[in-house]
Amino acid sequence: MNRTGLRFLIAVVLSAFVIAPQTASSQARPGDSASSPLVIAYNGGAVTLDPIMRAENTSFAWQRHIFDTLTIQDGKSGKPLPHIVTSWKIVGQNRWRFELRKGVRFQNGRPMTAQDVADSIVDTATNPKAQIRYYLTSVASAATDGPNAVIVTTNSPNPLLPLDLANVPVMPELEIKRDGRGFMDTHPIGTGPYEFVSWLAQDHLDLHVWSGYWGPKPAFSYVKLENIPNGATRLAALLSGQVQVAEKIDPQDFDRVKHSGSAYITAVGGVRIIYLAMDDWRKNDTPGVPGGKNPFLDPRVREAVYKAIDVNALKEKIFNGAAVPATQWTGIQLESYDPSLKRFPYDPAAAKKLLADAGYPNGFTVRLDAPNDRYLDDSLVAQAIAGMLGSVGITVQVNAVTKAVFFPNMDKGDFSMYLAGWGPNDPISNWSAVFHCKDAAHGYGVTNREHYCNPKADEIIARAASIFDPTFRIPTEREAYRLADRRDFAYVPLYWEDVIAGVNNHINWESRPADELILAWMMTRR
Amino acid sequence: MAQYVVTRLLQAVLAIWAVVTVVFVLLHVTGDPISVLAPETMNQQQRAQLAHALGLDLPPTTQYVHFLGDVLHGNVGVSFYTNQPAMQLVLQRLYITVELVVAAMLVALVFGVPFGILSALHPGRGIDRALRFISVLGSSIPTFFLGILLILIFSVEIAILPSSGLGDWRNFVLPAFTLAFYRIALFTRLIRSSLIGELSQDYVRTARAKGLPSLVVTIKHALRNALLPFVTAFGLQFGQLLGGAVITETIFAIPGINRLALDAIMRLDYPIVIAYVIVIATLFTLINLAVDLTYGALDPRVTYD
Repeated sequence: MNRTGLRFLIAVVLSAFVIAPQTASSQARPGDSASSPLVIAYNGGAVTLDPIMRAENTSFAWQRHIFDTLTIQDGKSGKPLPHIVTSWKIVGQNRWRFELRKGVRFQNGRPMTAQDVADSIVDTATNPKAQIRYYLTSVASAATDGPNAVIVTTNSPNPLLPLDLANVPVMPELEIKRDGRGFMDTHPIGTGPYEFVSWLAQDHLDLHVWSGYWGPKPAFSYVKLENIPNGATRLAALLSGQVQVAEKIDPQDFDRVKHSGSAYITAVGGVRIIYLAMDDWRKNDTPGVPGGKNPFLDPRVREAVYKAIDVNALKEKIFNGAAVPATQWTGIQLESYDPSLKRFPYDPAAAKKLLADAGYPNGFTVRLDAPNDRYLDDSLVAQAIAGMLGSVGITVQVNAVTKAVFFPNMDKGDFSMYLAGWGPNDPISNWSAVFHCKDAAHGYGVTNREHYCNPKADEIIARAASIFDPTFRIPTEREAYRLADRRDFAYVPLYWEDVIAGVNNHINWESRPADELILAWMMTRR
Repeated sequence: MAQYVVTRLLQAVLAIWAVVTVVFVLLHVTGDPISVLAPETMNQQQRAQLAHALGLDLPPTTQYVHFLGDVLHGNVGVSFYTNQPAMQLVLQRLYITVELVVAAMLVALVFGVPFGILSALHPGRGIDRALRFISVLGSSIPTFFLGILLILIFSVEIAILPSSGLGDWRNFVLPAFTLAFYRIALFTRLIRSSLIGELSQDYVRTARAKGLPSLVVTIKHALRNALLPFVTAFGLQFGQLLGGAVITETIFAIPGINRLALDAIMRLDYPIVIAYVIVIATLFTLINLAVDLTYGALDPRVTYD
């Protein structure tokens, strides 16, 4: 029996090794064949391929391989560049004329018409389920003007319409009207560089380069976009060569990538700001402070919080250098960025004095709410800030929760102090949403949860919104932001988050902080 | 027996209805999907239109009545996010999870049962001690740790297996083993203890005295009786894995039913959550029924009156 048992064990152990044939079967260059595609690993996958339904970067990134947008943002500055629309001009009161590119076809072979474009704009602006319709809140109508142009009319002056159109996909409106829009999710047809092959929602999307594309032929013919939600697995997939590009590599793993000899890191920041917001309206019932008395109504307390936080320490210790300390709301890459503003230096002594002057010589206690899965190392940053504020006397209890819990509570105004981020599109719409005095009837201050209100600054922005020439508009915008940033301490700017990816050495790719998208058709071989 | 099965199935329908109702109520008290669904900058009018388009502006009781009516027609609604039928999305993912779980349970079976037998045949000896050590390891290593460890060893260092995603059978090796490890440990211990109990019974001594070969005595006589507690554990583990493999699915980027459900819960995508609960509750009930029927096959004394 002894020997039988032993033989049995050996058989069992050997069977474990039978299941291990080599994976290095094909040495084809990634992107050259269906069996060896270029694989990009995202932290999240598209929920739908219908390009107007979901306002979420992970969905945009996948959709924009199949669909073209009317304009496209410059990857760094965010400025609108010609794409399907080749030029634009103002042709009357709130009327714009957009010239369309000729020779564009849908992936079913049908030529794109001006009617498709006009209908795509109207569809995006009016479909009640279209989550991205808020980009086109200013649009009143869109109509064709000959075979190669559309006229767009807005409700009010909107100098930033060409930027808004960077979010509008060209959709096959003829087919949508005829067949309903179900196929947009199961077998979408666009005018983009890749055509749909197959997909599984939130998991993967297989694409093949489309031979009839109007633009330059992409370097990679076969592409697979994959969702690998776990950061360690994404890193392993990059290092093992299973994927060629991996989104959101943790800064703590930068050295592993650099020393691997097979991949590099691209980290570019300067657009999305991470900031602290503080209750600016409730007097005696702010929810995060025991007793409810709101210390943040005094701008000196907000200034003290600003000066008590050592952003450079966050940058070095948590982000391994991959963050840019923020001097203002508007990112360093953007046109309206104000280079004259410097960050107030880290100065705990001044912070303590400000607190004492405001009547809090012994500090106070507050709950800091933060998401733990939305921004890069968000809960770690919240913990670090709690320590820093603690050293000037503010006792901070961190409540870091998942984004599905955090954001609804934030919308309800359940916080006294919270950490959040904002990926701006333009200073005027940012202001209307985040800083404008709350005015539900006119749609102002939709995300101004702190009820910050400075009517003078609102007036300045209203003036800026009617100036079409950027050389005059931008200084006006800066004027309003200076009031929020410097005089009122409407929020505490922390840092601009880097957009990070790990990339195989054989591929050229630089992160695009302006829209945070990873696009296979912009990559080249090295 | 047929009557027994029918009664059990009717009870299952009632149970599923109760579970679904509880989940429906819980979902409605935990949050408003529009607050997750609508982008921050959407205005009130656009939000109201979105709520209306999804039927979320109706009172919860009306929503429940509509929902029950739809379920009776075999329809649990369309996902708020994709506009695809929720049940179709769930079933599409179900087979992936079933494949993974079946693979894991097979691995657990192939290793766990022989390990248990070996241990029981040589209690206190070297091989028993080695296998008991593996058991302790299996029950104490967390899944996420084991998963990442296996990826680092087999995908990055010696690079013989893919780290994640779907592809061919090789993609299932690491996740199936990750899930199986705990079950191998559990089955080894279960079989060992019940088999040791059986081997000391009189009927085993009688069988040996009759001169039957040791293997026949162990496998045919003692093991059969020792299998009853194992069958219960096997069924429970099977059902538990179908609805509980979420960490493994996430680490190995396998688009299984549990990851779909987790995402749906995070987004408050009610129709998908409800479809998931119906599917998992149904499967669990069927597995339990199968376990109960297996008792009868193993032990003729069990009847179904």
